[in-house]
Amino acid sequence: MRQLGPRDYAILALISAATAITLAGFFEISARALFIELSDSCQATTRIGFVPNCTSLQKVAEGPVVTNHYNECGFRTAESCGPKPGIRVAVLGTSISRGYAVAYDESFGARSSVELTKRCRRPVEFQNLSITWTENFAAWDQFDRRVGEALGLNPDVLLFMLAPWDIWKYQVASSSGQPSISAPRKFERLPFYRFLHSVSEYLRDQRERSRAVLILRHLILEDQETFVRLYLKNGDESDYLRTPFTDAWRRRLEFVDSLIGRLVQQAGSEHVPVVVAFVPFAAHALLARSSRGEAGIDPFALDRAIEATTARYHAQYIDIIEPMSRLSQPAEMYYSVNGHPNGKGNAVIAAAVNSELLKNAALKDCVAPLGVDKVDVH
Amino acid sequence: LCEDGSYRGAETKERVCAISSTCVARKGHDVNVPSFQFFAFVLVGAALYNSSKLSAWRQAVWLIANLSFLASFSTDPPAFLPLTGFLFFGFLSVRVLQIGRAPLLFVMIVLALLLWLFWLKKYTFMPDNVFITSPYVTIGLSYVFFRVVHLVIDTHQRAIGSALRPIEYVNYTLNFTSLVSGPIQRYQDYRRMQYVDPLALDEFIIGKAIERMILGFFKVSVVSMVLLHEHKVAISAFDQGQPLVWKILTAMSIIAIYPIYLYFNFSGYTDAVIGSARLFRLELPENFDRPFTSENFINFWSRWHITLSGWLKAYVYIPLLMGLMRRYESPRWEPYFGAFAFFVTFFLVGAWHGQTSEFLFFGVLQGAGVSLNKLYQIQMTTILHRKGYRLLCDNPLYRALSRGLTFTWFAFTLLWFWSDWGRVATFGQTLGASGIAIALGALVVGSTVILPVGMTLNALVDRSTLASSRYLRTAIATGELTVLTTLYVLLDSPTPEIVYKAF
Repeated sequence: MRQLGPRDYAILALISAATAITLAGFFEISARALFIELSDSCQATTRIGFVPNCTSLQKVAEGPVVTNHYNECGFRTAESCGPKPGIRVAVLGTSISRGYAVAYDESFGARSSVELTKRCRRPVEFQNLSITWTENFAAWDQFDRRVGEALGLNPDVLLFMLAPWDIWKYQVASSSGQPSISAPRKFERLPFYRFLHSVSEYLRDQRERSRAVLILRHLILEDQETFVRLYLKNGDESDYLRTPFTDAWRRRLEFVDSLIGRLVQQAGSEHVPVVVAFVPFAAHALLARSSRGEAGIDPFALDRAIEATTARYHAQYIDIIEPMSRLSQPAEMYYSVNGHPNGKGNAVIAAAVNSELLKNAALKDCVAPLGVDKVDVH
Repeated sequence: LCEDGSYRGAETKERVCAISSTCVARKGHDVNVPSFQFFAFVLVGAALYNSSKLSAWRQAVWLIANLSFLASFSTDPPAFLPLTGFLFFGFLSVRVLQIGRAPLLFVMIVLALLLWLFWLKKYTFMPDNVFITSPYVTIGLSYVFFRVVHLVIDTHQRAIGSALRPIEYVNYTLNFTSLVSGPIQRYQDYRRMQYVDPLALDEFIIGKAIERMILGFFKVSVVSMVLLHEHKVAISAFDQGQPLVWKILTAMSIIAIYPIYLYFNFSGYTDAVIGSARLFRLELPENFDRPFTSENFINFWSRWHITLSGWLKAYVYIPLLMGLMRRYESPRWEPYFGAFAFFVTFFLVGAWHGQTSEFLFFGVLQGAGVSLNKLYQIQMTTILHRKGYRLLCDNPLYRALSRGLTFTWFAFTLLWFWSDWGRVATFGQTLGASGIAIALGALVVGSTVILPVGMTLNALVDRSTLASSRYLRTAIATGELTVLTTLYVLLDSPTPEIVYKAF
């Protein structure tokens, strides 16, 4: 019988290790060189929001370099936050409503402002008070304060835009400061288990940071069936697509209910109408577009629940999942791995927002816009 | 819609549920071949199998491995009853035929097995009310059928010497490495390796087996996945609005990508199972031999799904041809009998793939391709005589053109394999008669030029001393494994499905 010597085994093991490291290194370095990422340096470090009068460059791997400019109030808006020149819409929300990773002119706020200004024949501006999630701040904890700031701008409409992820994040926000760490089980105390656990956590962390993995994921997600399948594997994060809702999602919906209730109450005291817009994710829109139903999956369930909440508080509702689901390729409206709507996605959002805002009493003198299906998303 | 979340007939036929022709809930967690689970299953099984030289031990481990693999397809015991019944009937038949020659009984048994297959696979020509409505496992049924019929025929022909023991029968028919999609191994070869003359297994063979498994996984999970994606992209891009030139180019992509995808998908699966079986000291027959280098359609079918066409040649083509020649003794007509027998055999090769009229037509096109090829050979030999025709066949340009024609014909016939009548009609209407002719003509020219380039590159790699270097091969296999590992982790489950799993 032929046999390999210890030296052969050592060489083969070294070749394997060197190949794996070289390949991984080559792909990672290439991906980092080709798909640069820049973070928004205007992010305030001591509070929610952004540094006033700040301009920064930002880029996500899947998108272009964009310039973010924040006005004197720290809002991502071209116009001043001083006295309003015409109709003013104050926007509350998070990254999606801020036009994250999208050039300002392509963001829904800027697009809506241009279109509505044309239709209303007077300036319509969108003061974007959208905030961001950071490691230090839980956005929803500071929400009421942000509503106060928005009402201080004397807006004609208060637009609150939220996405499933924002609602899911409530879990983190509500439990911040009250960690519930269960006692480790017996085997979890074993040094070997702890070592393995820390290695696997390290590898997972590296995987999430890897740009090569991000690009590979981007390619994988080009297949729409895989995209939906993987999204549905997200467990609690994607459980809003499953009916009946889990207890966790029912609690979150109660939270959204109280959030919208407080918002309408605060705005009502200033006689400012509230409009709530719900933006779906790519997999969410893909499922909604598909005529192929799947047992236990209802892509419109969360949409209906938020619409019902909005109606209960007599606020106006903007349905964005419906126009997204009418598109032939809804996934193309998003950065697939990053998850945020891209310029095309912002165009669809803007069209839906324009269409609904023109039904609002504050914009009653304006001319109706084109239908969403006629929007040029390019 | 299948209750396991996959879809039937919505996109392409490879999405057909594997567990049952009724497309019912999948209760088990089937061990998909290109997966970490399968890899681990093979390694653990092979380690146990080789841990003792005792034949009884090895057969016991082999039996447990085969039954465990099958059991992974359902947790519902009654779901296995139809397959168990089929196997039991097959075993009884073989034992009865071992007692003595009984031609009429033999014919009845073969017909009964055929009817049983049609019934379990729910062929559309059978009345609906005879079918079982509850879910049942049909995974690998076609391949089990081929093995059982082979045993029955060879027993009847006294080609199997020893008495068949139940454990041998179960292990042979349910061999997990070739259960899902073959290859179809002869019992005599299987028995020799399992009982008479077990194959050696050393570090080099283990290394080569693992290398082949990794290559197979890579072909299925990376290469074929990319090709499938490109095929889908081409299909979605193809529409009336495209300019004619783009429409033709897109149509060419749609036609040309699918056979290449199918080759990587199926040959990758075959590589994986051949590597796996080798760890159990079993050498499965090869199923592919560079099919796209074939210079005619008859040769193509001796290089593509070799064991299926070999089985049908042995049990359909030869008996039919011999029967015709005995019945009508005429040397003048003998070549035409050959063409007819080819048509019947390769019609069955195509028609076997499915229960719908598209597959029947696919069979007609395969049969027509092979029999017209045979008739062409007869005519050319008559016109040019044997020597002249051989000279023509040796002409490099003629060979390249023949290769291009063979590839294009096969690619064209596959339209009825992955598509349906409605989509084929839309495809034809969108392209128009002249568009189809231009696309197919361009495909012939393109493949005539590209295939020799590929063959030259392949030959260069084969001749290179580096290709036989242990170190380079280790580096290549590690590279493939690195990509696969990353992909499997990201996909969190191995995809795509093996196309031939559905048959």
